Amino acid sequence: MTRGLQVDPSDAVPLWRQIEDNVRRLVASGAMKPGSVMPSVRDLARDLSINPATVAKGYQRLVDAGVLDVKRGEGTFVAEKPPALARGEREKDLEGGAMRYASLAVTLGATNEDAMGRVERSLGFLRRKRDGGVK
Amino acid sequence: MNGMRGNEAAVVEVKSLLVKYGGNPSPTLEEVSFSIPRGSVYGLLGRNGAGKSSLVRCLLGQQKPSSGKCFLFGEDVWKHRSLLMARTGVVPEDPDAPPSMTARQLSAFFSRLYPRWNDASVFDRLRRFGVPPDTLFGSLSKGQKALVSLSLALGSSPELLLLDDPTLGLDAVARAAFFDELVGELADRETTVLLTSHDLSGVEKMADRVGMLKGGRLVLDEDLETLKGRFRRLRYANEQTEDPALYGQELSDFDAVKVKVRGWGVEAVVSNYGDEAFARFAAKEGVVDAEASALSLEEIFVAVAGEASPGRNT
Amino acid sequence: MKTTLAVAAREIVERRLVLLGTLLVGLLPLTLPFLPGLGGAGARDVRFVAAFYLALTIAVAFPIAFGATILVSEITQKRIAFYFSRPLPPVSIWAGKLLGALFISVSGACLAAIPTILVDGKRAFAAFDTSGPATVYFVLTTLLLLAGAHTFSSMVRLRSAWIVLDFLLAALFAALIALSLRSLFLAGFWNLYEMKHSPEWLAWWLAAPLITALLAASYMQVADGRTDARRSHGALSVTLWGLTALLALPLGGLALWVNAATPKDLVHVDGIQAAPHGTWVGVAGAVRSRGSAEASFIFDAMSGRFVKCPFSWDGTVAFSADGTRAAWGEPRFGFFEMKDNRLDLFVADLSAGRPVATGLEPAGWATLALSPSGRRLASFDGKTLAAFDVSDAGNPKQIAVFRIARDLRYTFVDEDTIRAFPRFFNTQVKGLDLARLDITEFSLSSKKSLVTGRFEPGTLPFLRLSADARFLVGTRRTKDDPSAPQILTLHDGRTGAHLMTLSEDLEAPRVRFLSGGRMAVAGVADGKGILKIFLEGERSPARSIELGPAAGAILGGEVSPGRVAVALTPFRSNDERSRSAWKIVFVDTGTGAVSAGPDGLVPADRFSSWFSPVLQPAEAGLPSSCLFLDAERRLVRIDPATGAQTVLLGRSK
Repeated sequence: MTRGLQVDPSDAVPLWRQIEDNVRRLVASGAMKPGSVMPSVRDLARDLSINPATVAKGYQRLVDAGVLDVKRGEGTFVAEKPPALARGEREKDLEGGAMRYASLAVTLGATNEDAMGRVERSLGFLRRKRDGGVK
Repeated sequence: MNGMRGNEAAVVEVKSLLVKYGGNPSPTLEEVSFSIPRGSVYGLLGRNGAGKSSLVRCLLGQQKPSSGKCFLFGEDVWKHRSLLMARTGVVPEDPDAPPSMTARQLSAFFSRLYPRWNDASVFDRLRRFGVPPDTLFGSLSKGQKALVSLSLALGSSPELLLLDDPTLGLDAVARAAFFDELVGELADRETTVLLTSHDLSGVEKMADRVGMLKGGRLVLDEDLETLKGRFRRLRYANEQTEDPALYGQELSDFDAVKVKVRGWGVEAVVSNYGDEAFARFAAKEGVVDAEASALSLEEIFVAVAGEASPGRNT
Repeated sequence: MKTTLAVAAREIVERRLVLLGTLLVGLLPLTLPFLPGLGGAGARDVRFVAAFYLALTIAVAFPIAFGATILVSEITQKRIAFYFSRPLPPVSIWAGKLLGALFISVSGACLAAIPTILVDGKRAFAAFDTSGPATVYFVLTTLLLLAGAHTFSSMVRLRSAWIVLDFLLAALFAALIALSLRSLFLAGFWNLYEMKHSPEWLAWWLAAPLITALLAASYMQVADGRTDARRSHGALSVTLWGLTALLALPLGGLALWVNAATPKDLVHVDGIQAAPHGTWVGVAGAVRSRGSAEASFIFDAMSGRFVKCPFSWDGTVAFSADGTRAAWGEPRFGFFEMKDNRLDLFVADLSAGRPVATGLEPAGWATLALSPSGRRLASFDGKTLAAFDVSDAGNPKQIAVFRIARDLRYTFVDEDTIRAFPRFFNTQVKGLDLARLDITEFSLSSKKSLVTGRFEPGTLPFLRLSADARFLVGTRRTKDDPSAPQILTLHDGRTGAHLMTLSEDLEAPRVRFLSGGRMAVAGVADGKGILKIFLEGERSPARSIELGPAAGAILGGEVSPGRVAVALTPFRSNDERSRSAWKIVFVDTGTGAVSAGPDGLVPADRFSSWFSPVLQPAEAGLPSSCLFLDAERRLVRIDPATGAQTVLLGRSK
């Protein structure tokens, strides 16, 4: 279950954001089904050998964003309904993600066509996986 | 903040610490100040002789600083060491338990010293670690000694845990067991941790803040996240000039910690990276094929502290 | 306390094998009687002796071994942090380790003795002193060894620069304390007799502060030095030497203070000896605020000037007849005891003040005499009478040596002649060698001796010699009863020939040679004080004067020409009560007129020459005749003209 949640401590991206991004990716791809149980903060921290506070921070952001749900006394679950973000927030997140990718593409010297093609291929991959129900 | 008491919110607070030894002209520690808030995991880094051991001894009230003060839980640790140690668990760099005692005897001894002592938790941990409780401490392997030390340090349910390079010389299995237990402890109780380690990947996973000692001074004291965010390695070719002496001038917008001229171009470590600044840099005339890559904590350490990677401290 | 015991218990448990070992070693004495020659009837003694020495060895070796390692090894090997990173107050770490080491040391010694005690039962206890005080000493000695070994080991093993200071200060303070103690000891500051007859009290008196200083130093070492070896050593040294200074400096000050006593510090005068002429007197007595120390001086009764002559105990100061020079012997000391039983002889020109060491070193019991001019000095040690020219006191020249095999009292008759009289306390023994009663003259220039006469058997020749040495007074008892009247006889000073009987009816008679060739004899008859006056050449008293009711009469000197002082007392004994009861009367020897003097005084030199082995010819009309002792034994001078009293020496209580 947590295999897809692996993090890279040496990456410049903070660990909590790596967890957040990973969960978003797994949920978006359908690898994590709505209503499925998430590993506890303690278990995930032990599995990843990282500070539980870091895991908790990532989980908290996902809960705030509606990706995860906390049921008191039962644990943390993937939200039944996809998050309905406020308009402004949704815009901001999309803008930010696009900017991060665009920076990477420019940094690595990719042409616009190359960069755009990769975005399209990734979108296609995710939608296929989600619709096809592949685990 | 007055001089007599530390900040009560900080579990550890070090104020303008100066440690000098007679006969040694340069101080071992100078102007060292930092604090660790409750629940935080602080990684203290430094190369051999950077002053880590002296700092740890001062922090534990075992050594009187030449000037400055260390506070634990807001109290001067030199004055109130005995009381403060009841709330502090220590895993020393060199296991210092008497070699002729078994873990069981050590636990029984400590149960008479600490106001609250959880004998059962010590044996639970030892069982999980697979360390025999009735073997003489001196006969245990290095890894087992560290695990016994950790079990004993946690036996008093400390609010502060001081781990002085606890995994030094441990094999991968023992190190994993050690961190596994530490993560569990952190998850169960919001223990504040001060961790010094040569094992920077471990620090990188656990710490939310790091400090770095160099030549007795604290050259870094910063959240790990911002630290990693502002350090990047830049690689690019320079078409502007053939004169190596002029290489690096184009980096003027960055604080370059280290610049190396290679056959293919320039490699530099900068400490104030930003995406937009980099975009401007990459677009500069003469800068070709610029790329920026993240640095691990170890790489940052090497860039800041010097050439060699941190080994055993003094 | 709980944590202290926890630390102590940990130390003991860690060394439990050591205790088991001592118990096993304790079996050794039981095997000794099986060795050839050690068994049989003496088997039990062999076991006792072996067990005793075994226990003793352990009692010494364990505290030294544990003292040197517990704590110090942990500090040097950086294992002491184990305790400091626990909620242990420093006193628990320090006291716990100390108690643990003390327990192992003491019980180790006891365990080694147990097997022997088990075999031989209670009687084996006879080999060990198990009384309360002995047990306390045992524990204290163990503590001292532990603390001492710990301190020494700390200094050597902590390897900090403090060690230079340590050894410097150790040497300095050891010298200071030893010299101070020696000085106090020799000055008699401690009365060892009163210290329970035993100098071991002095040892504990010194060991107690030493143990305290060592323990305090080791505590500060733990409390303030903690895991820092250098600071640890510093705290130890500062505390130890600070406390030692606190002890040693006052001790040194006390020694200086005790030895800086002047005649003004005399509480009372116990011994006094007046020069035959002039105003100098030798005085000795207890000195104020200086323990039981006593001091002696040669003191000018007129000007108050003085020369200190330390350790001259019984007033054996020899004066020249003109009273300008004095000689005395100071016992020569090793560190604490009299060395070789020798005296160092000193001569002083009293007006100049400074004593000069002559370099002469007669036996400790030698007696001294100076010639009339003081330029010659004689000493007699019971076998040899030696005479020296001490004109240059620092460079004496031997003039003559005479070997004599009997006890003498002697005096210079003139610069060249020493006259010796027999010295006896009882000449009535049967079969007495009459040659021992010879009066002998020694000529220094011819180095020859000449028997000039012989004293009468049965007469004690130890009262007084006239100033010109022509006459000697002897005494003889009528009955073997000290209160019975005694017969006082006058003899030729050179031949010993009986010249006349001075008195037959007086109890405790005393005699003085007065100016103008007269003599006075005082005593008690029929409960009245009697004074008899003899004129020169007359065989019967010119005058016999009743002085009033008295049980005792003491004849003083001539306070002014022709006027003598007599002290009368209604008591026979000379105790506190009688002292204030003395009454002085002045008698005009020309007219026989008696006038009352002050009360509570007695002539100061009443005993001088009584016991002195050197016959000091008594000059008539000495200024020192005006010196008296009051009831508190203060030295008082009476102005003969006005009768005014001046307290010269001694302090009111």
